[in-house]
Amino acid sequence: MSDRVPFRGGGFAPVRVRGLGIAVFILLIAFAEWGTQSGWISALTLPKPSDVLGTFVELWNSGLLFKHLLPSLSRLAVGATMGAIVGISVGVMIGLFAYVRAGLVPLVAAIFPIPKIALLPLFVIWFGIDEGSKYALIAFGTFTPTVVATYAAVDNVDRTLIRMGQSFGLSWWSIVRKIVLPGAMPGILSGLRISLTIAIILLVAAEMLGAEYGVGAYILEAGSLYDLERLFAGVVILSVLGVLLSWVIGMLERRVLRWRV
Amino acid sequence: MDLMLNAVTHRYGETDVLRDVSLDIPSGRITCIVGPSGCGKSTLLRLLGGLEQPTEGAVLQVGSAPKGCLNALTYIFQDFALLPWRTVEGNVALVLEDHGLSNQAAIIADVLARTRLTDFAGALPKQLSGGMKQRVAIARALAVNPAVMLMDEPLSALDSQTRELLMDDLVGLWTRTPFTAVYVTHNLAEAVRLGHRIVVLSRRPGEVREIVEIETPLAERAYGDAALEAQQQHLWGLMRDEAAAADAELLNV
Repeated sequence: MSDRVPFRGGGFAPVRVRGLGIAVFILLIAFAEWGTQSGWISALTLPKPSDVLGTFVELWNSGLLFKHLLPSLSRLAVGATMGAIVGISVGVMIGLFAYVRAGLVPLVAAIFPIPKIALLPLFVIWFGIDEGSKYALIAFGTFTPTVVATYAAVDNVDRTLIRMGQSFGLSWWSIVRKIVLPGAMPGILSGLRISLTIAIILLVAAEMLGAEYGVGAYILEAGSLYDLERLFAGVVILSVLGVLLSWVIGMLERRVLRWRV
Repeated sequence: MDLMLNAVTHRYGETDVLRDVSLDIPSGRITCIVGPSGCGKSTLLRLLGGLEQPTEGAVLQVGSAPKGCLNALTYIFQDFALLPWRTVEGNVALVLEDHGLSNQAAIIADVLARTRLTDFAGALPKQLSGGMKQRVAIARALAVNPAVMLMDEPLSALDSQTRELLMDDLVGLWTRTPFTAVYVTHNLAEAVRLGHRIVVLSRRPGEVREIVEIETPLAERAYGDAALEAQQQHLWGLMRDEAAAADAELLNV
């Protein structure tokens, strides 16, 4: 009697499946459209996707889209850039210097869990009700996760490479620049993925106070009028922004981390 | 330039790793250090290159480094220690950049040619086999024109065929331009193949048990040579009981 040996080695390895992600989106939207058209889902529960699309087209045609989007994007860019730059610098310092680590790690741990939105009134007093407080809120929210990710990444740099650098008599600055920073890059980039997403969340929070234009202000206004179509149009803009940012970081990772096995 | 260990004792906390080791490393020859696992041979190498400070005794440099030497004591590591984000050429350049040399490109071209890597100058480490990675590390070490090469089990991460090929490479390099090296290994075949002098350490705390000199020129030592085989048997005789004891000791920890 001879049986074929059963195959047991399949599964567990990540396999790239093209198009499935988009298919899930389309399926969900089609389902919502069908539900709302047939009256199975009431108009108060969920707006019709086609109406949301209509609102979006209207927004585009009236030129209001860019009137809202451009200030939001500039707030996001300025705030997140400030937060990320300061965060990466502080994180690298914590990773390199024992005194900085001992002094700042507890402080970072203390400010990490504070909901930054709760501090918005304080920021308004400190930086004014204009752009300043919005930049500060986004920067502050981006800062903490970036610091934590960066110093963890610096800690994880292969020690044998640093020892190699020392054994060849490389200067301290050369070791930092040519071994520590490139070695920490994967960790820093995956940290940025998280902190930039947090920046988008905080953007909306920042625009809830004293902003005439901005995606956040638009959503807030629609929400208070219970205008679900406009609310959803705003939310879709944020989602697209998130997907775009994640795509940009993915591109960056593929370029900068080509050396990774 | 010679190196000298003067009554070196080294401890980690309460544990003696090396006890009263005195040794000299003559220039132009390869000194192999063998011993059972945990006998402190890698520690000895770190002490020799100044990556660690001995608890007692001193490591001395006798004479000055040759002219044009950029890094007198240069390591070759077991795990290659190549920067994965730099190409073969970039990895060699790394150790030259700080010196601001005008002939950097020429040095790189020369060492890559000597290690037969010229065609792979633009490759990243992830594209290379283990043997090639170690050749890049050897090229990097040659680039700084070292007075003493400190080799920490350089072939232990490689398969046995690659090991044979690399040993031939090392013999070839030494025959063309003799260099000074301290070669730490647990592999006795490597020791009798590459060592002019073999230092046998006892198990922890490591002490010099015996020093064996092998007079046969490196180039004449071949794979499976009977005289070398006899030397290897002799060394194994010295180490066998110690190795067994060291193994049992680890189980008791």
